[in-house]
Amino acid sequence: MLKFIIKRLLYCTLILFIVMFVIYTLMASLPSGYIEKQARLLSQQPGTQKSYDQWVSEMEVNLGMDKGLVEGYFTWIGNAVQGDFGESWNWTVPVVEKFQDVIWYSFVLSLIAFVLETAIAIPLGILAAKKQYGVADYTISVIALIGISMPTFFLASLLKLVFAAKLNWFDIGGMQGRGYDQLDALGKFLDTCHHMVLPVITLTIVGIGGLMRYTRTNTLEVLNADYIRTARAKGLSEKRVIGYHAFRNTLIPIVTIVGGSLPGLFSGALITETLFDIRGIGFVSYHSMVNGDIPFTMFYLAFSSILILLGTLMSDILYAVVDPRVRLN
Amino acid sequence: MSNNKLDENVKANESSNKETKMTLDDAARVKVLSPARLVFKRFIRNKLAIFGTCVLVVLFLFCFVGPLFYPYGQTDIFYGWREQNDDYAYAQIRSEYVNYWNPDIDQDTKKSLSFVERNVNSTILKMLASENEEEQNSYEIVSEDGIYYNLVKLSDDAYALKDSTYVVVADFFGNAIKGVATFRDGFEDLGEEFNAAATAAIKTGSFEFNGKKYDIVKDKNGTKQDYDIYCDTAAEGETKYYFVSTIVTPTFYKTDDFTKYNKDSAFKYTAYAATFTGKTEFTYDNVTFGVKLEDGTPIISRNGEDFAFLAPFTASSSDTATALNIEFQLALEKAVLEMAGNAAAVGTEVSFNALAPKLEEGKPVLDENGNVVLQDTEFVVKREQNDYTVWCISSIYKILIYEAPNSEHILGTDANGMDVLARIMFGGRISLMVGFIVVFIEMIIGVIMGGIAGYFGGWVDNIIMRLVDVFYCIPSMPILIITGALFDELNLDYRERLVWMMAILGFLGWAGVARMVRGQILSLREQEFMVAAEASGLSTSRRIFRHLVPNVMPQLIVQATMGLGSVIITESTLSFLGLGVKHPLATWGNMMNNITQKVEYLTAYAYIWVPIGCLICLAVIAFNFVGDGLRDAFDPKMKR
Repeated sequence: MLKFIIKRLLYCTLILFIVMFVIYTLMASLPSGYIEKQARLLSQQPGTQKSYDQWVSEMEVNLGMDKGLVEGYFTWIGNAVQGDFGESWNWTVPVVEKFQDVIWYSFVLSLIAFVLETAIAIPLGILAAKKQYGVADYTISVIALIGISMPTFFLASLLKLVFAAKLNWFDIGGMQGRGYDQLDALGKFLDTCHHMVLPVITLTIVGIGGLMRYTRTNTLEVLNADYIRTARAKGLSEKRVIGYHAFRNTLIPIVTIVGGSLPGLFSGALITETLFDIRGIGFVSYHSMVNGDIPFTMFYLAFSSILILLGTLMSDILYAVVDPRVRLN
Repeated sequence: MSNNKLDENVKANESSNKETKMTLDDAARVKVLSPARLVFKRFIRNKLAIFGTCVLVVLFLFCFVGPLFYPYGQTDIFYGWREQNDDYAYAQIRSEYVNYWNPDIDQDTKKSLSFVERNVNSTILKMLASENEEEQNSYEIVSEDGIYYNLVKLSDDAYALKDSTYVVVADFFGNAIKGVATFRDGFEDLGEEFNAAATAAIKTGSFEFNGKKYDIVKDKNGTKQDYDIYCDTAAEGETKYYFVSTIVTPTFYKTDDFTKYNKDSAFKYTAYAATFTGKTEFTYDNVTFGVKLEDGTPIISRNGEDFAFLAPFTASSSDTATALNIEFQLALEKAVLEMAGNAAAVGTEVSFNALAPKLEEGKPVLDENGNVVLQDTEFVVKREQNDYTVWCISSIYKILIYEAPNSEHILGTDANGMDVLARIMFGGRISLMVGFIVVFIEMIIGVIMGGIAGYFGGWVDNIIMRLVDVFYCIPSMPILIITGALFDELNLDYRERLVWMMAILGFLGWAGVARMVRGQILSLREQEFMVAAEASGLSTSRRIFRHLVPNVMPQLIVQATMGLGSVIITESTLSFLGLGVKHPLATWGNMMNNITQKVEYLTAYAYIWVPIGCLICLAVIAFNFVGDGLRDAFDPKMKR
């Protein structure tokens, strides 16, 4: 087990190294990025004594972008390993500081949505499988498919239209209402919670479909297995057959996939956060990307690549942990 | 399932050929379906798949055939006459007093009075500020020559300059011991006693004589012994005004009169002098004019017809080509003066009704006689500092932005005045086409890479699979956003941009296909038919692409169908963020982009974006249904 994990970790590091190089190449070769834009602004300012080209080269030196591709990459990764991701150009604070500021909003948002998702999707998926081809099955399947097919931005707009614009139950976006500063600590907390409701609903609905379908398929497979027929033949109650024998086996793939999505809770919800103005990691990195803020974007891409790799690793490990029949090698 | 079918066939055969004797191995007994027909049969049994197929067919017809029958293109901009609030006129309250000279005054006098003339406005301000009633009505101004004049108030809006009653009655020559007063023309010589009194008063400056008060002041221009003696004499005869200073201006009823009289300051003087001294008529240039007061506004008439009204107000039309009609100007004057009188705050709006020319498509409507038809119109006047803006509902030729659904535009028009339904059709074309092209790119790269990796194995497999791992790991949405922002910076042409976006989308998505193809080929290549293919000496590429790949086809088709849905979502999300397909090309995503940005638009134009969103959902659901159906049909046992 340990050997497997170490081997996989080393492998992941290699993959990450290559991925980051690809991304670094892409980012560094972007023409007309942040530096050019700033240089153009600075060179047009009254009283400036440097030309556009001079500004570009000066800023490149200042921001460490003057090195060649390979050298620059190794410098970047050397600093990154030590936890130094430079200073964000767009937010003008160190990248790590900005990250620590915003990550918890994203995490809490994703966590609540994730808990809701699992709590709703797994029972419903099992129910659909139990009543295969019944009304419940069709309803659940169709709802799951709609959830999968619904683009996030459309769902978010619909929720905004109904609950924010028409019913006025929530604000249209943002994390704090009017008069937030006058509230006491509890009020502030409740206000923020209130603003998180619509994003959480969006994330839950969008994420629920896949898990529901997955649960249903796996439960169906388990229910067709021989040991379920045996359990029924023994005369066990249906409750025990489903709840004990089938459920535990259904959980094997589900735990794998759910565990694999745990690291993803940190990666933020790019679209949802942007649409609802939740200042989480997704929102911040969206604006960094759009404004060509290379240090923050590099950090975010590295961070999400790590999360993806961790997710796969985790689901592999969990697979072995949950199912003793599986041997890792 | 196959048992049922067998039974059915048997039954059918039995019923039709009751006479013919059948044997067990009779070929007619078992109807053998080709694999393709078998798949088809299983597919059409799946209701959801049929539903999905129908939806797709309808969508395709709508997007690809629909535009052929729909009269509008995706970039047609529509114009039309629409009623909307528009600036109609501007009004101003005059605050500067302007002097109109009496035509009888000669040039020299005017010149000598230029100093007084310059001080009129400040003097009027002093008069207005004064608390003394006498000073409010009449104020003394001394000219540079030391001559006293009186600025008298004629009305709230007009003042006039006349000679002061405080004049020099005599010149005094002498000193404190002896002097002689020489009376000026028109004043009675008061003799030696007066001389004595004046001589005595030379130090004090003023004295009384015969009950009158005289002032003795040193003559600035004369010698040491020259003095002037002033006295306040009563006014005699008709007062002569030098000029009238007023803030009013005439507004003429007829344009001809305007051109004739507006620049004529002699006429204006005559009119003002008559009006503000309370006369009911005056003559100018051998024409007699009447003056009357209506609601506090003086109206001048000629031959019984209204000729002009006087008010401290000017109005101008917002459209320089057309003149404002007089009824409107009168009504506006009342409204504006009332607002000014109430000291209405800046931004106050008052509405009033007035007759205005009836307009149709920007031109005045004429009756049979060629006269402009007037109609009662509601105007709103708004105060902006000293200016007033008047607007009313008028018809304007403009781009039809956000037209509500009507018979011409079934779903209305969008922010650029383009037909929404046409754009939905063309947008669907692009969205679907992007989906197909991207999936095609993914498939091509995926099949080639996966095929090579699976067939050759070894280090080739190793390298390709590491590459697949790398692509799996790259977060695609951020990359797409970054490249989208980059295209923005580069100002790429929208067509070029579309091509690039499809290429990138395809390039980022092939890893899944490659992994699947490789897995399938790994198991297929060990099977007997591949050994046979190798034994018969087929070339490698033929073995891969003719024998292996067709066996992967079912999974490929399923994956492609499912992939179409997700590509459509990705594309529309990108376009929604404004980083994908750009205007003027329509896609479902970018049509929702600008509408959902603002709350007002979100609610007001829900009829535009909700159908579009539903179409996206519908397309993706349909592709998913069809994909599910195909998978079940290809291999009922295949794991979902």
